[in-house]
Amino acid sequence: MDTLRHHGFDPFVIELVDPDEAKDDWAGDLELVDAETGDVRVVTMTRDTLDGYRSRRAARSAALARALREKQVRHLALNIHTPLPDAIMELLRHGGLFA
Amino acid sequence: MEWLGLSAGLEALLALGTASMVVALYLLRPRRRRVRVPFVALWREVSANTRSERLLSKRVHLWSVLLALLIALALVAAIGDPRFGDGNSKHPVLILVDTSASMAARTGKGTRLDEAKAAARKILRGLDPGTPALVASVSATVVPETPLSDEHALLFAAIDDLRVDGPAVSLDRATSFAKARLDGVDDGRAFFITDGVNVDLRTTTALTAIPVGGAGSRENVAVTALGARRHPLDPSRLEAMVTLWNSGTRPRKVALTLVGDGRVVDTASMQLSPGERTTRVLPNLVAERELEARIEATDGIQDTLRADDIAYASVPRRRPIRVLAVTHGNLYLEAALLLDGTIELETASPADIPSTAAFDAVIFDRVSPPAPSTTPALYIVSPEETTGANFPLSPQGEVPRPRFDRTLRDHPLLAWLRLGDVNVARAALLKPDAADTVVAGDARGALLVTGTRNGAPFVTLAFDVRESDLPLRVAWPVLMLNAVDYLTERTVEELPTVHTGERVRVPASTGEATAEWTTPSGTRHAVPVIEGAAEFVPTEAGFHRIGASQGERSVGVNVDWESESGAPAPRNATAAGAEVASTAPSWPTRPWPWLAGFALLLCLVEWWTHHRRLTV
Repeated sequence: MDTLRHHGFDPFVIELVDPDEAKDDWAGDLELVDAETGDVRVVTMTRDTLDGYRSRRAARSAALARALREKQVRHLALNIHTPLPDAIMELLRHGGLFA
Repeated sequence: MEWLGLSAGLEALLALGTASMVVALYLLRPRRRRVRVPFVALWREVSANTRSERLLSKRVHLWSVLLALLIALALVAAIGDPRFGDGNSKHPVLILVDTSASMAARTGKGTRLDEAKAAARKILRGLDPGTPALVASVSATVVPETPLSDEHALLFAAIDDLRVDGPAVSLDRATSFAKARLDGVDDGRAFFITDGVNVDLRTTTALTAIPVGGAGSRENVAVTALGARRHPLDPSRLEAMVTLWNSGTRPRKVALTLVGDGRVVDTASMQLSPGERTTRVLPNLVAERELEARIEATDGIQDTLRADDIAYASVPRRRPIRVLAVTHGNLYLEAALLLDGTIELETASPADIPSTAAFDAVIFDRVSPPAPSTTPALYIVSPEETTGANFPLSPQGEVPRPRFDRTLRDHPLLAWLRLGDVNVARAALLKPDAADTVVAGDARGALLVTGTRNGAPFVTLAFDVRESDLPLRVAWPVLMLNAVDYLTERTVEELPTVHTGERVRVPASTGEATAEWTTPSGTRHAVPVIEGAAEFVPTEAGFHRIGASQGERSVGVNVDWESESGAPAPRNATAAGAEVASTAPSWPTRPWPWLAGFALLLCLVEWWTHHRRLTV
């Protein structure tokens, strides 16, 4: 992010958020497959595991937002289920291009 | 160890199969569900932060398998019903239970006998299968309730059927029984379950004593003695002597009730200090056959032993007799004899004298007998009105104003009599034989003579009672009744106070071989008649009835409460008692309930660890 800004870019970070991630009906031994890398992780899913994941994920999002704010980088957490026109309008509104 | 539920082989097979199935279920887990996530690294941080946690996870998995295996194997073992033994368990065991009267005492929830039964069942449950055992009740005698048997169900049933007997326990007989049964047997054991009342357990080493009844209240009042006798001057009335004993530690108030032939005849209130024995005589009671003394606490304190609140006594019986009075008419005589309800009096005129063979005694009142009497007879003679040779003592003349100066005070005819101031106008002059006895008279002649003629006793009164003031005195009916009793040799049949376990002899007809004995509970037995008496040994308190051709007789039988109402022996009174505690097995000899409970406990542990996420 610092490199981009050094070269005169004005970065805009869009964080895609899936609200259905870590569903409550997940239980027992699950094979979690990374959607991007294809890595597989066997996890015994419990209530504590789910809660732990959710809290850890919320903390990570908060930390990301705080770090971007310190560097004055604009940030938008976007629900992946948001329809594309609405997402574009939201993006433009946060980017200051649209009042 | 033996398996009762399943054979050892089947048990092993079942355990192996169950364990295999549990392990297989753990190995054959269902296929894992695949889920796509946007960023798997974040899950890695949550599910396995460190290497040590991963190791713990593997241990948890192992523990989970072990837990499931333990639960399954515990249940399989419980189904097998294993029994532990000491390897020396086939030796016979005798279980002797004290069933004496004191075992009926209450000890909180039940009686001492209930405690004894529980102890006996505990011994039986501790025996290995196949161990021969015997159950016997011990009171005055030892009664084997079962044979020496390894069918423990039979033994349990016999223990359930044990009842309080009555006679005091005989330790000697219990010891002899145990020695005889275990003679020649290696390592046989005899347990004696008793409250220790009336027993000194330190005197025997053949029995292993198990004391019971140490708990509970000690407050008790007992009727320890009841006696009844007929009033000497009025046999229709009774005197009763009752002895009460307060064996407790607190002052007591009781109501005493006397019941004669089923009806209340007297009541009294009594107070007893702790440990006090008191005796009370209650006169003027009315009863013909049976007398009971009952007490009831009026101070609200519950007696430990209720059975000793009642005592039984037979009323001394007078044999009914038939008397024939041959007279011209003598109301004085008839009135005197009618005072005794047991005398069946018939009168006859001198012109129509019936056969005297059917009578126990005959009274010739100023009448000459038609022939020398072979029946016991009382002759009332008068110098004027009597003639003939059939008198045992014919009048030889007249004595004016005779007096009772010389009397045989101890003669039965003069019992309860004082005749010194009786006035007689005149009397017949009698000449007694040398063998006759002059009971009363003066220097001039005899007034009352007795002797024997023709094999029958006689009594002769030498004056017409109407020419004296004797009929106006109390002495008159007493003299007549004494004379009848003397002639008929009738005495009051006194039966001694009988305790349970003691031999009883009741007079019976010598011509009969047996008599019917009915116990208070209604059981009938035929008992032998030996030398004119029926013999039996009662074990039950109450009225026992002996029926014979002479009529039914009632015998009151009591427990010897003087010895049975005492407090039980303390639990540490015998060294043998301590021995029992030390020989009790320290592990459960019938462990299936424990195994099932262990499995349940493991299920609870698994449930708890699962919900604490320790085993998932």
